[in-house]
Amino acid sequence: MNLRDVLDMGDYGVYVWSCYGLVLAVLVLNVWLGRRSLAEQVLSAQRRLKIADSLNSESSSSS
Amino acid sequence: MWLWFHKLSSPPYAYRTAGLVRPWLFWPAILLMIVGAIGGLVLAPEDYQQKDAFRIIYVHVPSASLSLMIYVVMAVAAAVGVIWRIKLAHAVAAACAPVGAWFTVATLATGSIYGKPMWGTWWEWDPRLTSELILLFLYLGYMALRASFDDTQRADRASAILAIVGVVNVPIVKYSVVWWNSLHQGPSISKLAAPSIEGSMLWPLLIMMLAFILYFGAVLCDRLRGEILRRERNASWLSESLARS
Repeated sequence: MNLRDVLDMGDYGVYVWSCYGLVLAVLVLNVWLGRRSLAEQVLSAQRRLKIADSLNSESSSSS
Repeated sequence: MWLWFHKLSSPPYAYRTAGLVRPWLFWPAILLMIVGAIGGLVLAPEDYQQKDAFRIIYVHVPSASLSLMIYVVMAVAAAVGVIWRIKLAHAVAAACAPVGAWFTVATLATGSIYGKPMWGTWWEWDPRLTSELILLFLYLGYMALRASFDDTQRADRASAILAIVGVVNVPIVKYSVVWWNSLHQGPSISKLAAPSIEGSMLWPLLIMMLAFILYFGAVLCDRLRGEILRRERNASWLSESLARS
């Protein structure tokens, strides 16, 4: 089987390769969405902790 | 064993464990996907009837089985959350839904593309196709229901009921090709009988299915960690865990 045959897929190339491309896109997208949602939550948690720390240090310095 | 389960249900432990486990699921999944794709696209012989178009099964079938498996995981997690009031179980269910919905979309889209050259139509209101479409609506309904509540606990309970009730659709999708006269082909891999697929065509499919399951585990780890952070807004363990990451 040469490269041409693999790409042609016996005249079914459009159907076969569009399915593989579509599933690859879903696989990549889900990894990206998962990483992005985690990164967003890490950032917002870090922000909250920073605010809580600064409030704590303010209240301890004023007392 | 129970002690381990009890430990795993604690958010800080689950957060750390998911972070540690993720690469051990992700990289083997990628490796197996490459092997499965080469096996399916190049090494497997062409089908005597469907010719090279049959190679679509190596992405269509793993997507379809994953779309069903994720729903079962989601429903079981939701049931555990409701029965034993384990918050982490609800977090697992919430993390499953978007991934499951995406794989249901992939199943419907690849099935439609597969259907055109094989059946001569992109879509048919066939039992298998219709029940898979209902599965997509169940995922979307679950996510919409969760989003409609501000209170996480109420969202957990309400969406859990939908997830548990909706699980009745899973055997309908699975056995639709057996119970009804369907345009969709019957099962090729069965645990009760010998598979009706040749070994040289079967091994890439089994490898792909395993790869997709490992991949789902890896994506679930990220989603779950994000969900835990969202829920544990003011927990004291956060500062220590985030400082380490």
